[in-house]
Amino acid sequence: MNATEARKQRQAAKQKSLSTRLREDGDMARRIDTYVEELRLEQQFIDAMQAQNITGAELARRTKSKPAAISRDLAGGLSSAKLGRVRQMAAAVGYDVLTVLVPRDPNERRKTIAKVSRELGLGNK
Amino acid sequence: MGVKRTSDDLDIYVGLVRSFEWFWAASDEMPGLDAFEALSADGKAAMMATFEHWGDLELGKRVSETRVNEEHPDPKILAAKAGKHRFAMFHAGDNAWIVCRYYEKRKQKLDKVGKTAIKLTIEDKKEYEERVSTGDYYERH
Repeated sequence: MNATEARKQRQAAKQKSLSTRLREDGDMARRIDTYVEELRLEQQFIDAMQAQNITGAELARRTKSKPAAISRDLAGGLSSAKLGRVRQMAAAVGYDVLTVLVPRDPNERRKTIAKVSRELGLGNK
Repeated sequence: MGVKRTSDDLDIYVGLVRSFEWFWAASDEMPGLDAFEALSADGKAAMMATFEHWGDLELGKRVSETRVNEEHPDPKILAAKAGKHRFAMFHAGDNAWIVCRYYEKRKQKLDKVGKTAIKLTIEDKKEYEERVSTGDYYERH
């Protein structure tokens, strides 16, 4: 049996992954989500740079920053960056930043996301 | 001496694109899981975020070297990273990754502890492949 076959067997037996078990603790789930959100933001910059063949040095030139600062930003630094800095970097790769405060209450959260989606034209047409 | 584990402990994260599981030694120990359990709550969250993010990332998209980095070219050993924490892993086919050894980054370059972790991961890979081919890696009770 290889890794894929063994995993399918475990999934059929409804065995939970470590991620699932950790996420059963609400506080831990929030901690993980915070880190995942940071990684997603970082990834969006990496994707935009990759798609346009923009190097770190070029992004540094466009934002009038030192290359070391860009390296820091794209290696966890964005988590503590000011919103203005994120906007500046986004503009340098041809993007805008949308900021949305999303309530933690599940019902309010759904309503807010639905409202924002409508406003952004993301809903079903 | 590590904790004896069962297949219930194997899966770390089954992502949309990649899945991660702990290396399960012949002694039934999972050295990676022992190390993970010793991390702080924040360390665990940061490390799990790296697995989840990379696990869901589309093939062909570049991931930051500060999150996943090649530590050994042949056999290919990668490290999943979060802050100073590193978990060395190898590819087991079909987008499955086996996570083996933990080490901390202390210097810019891989130090003695890191090199030992990579060396052990290469040995783990060999053991894994041999035992999977003889059908006694996953098939234990």
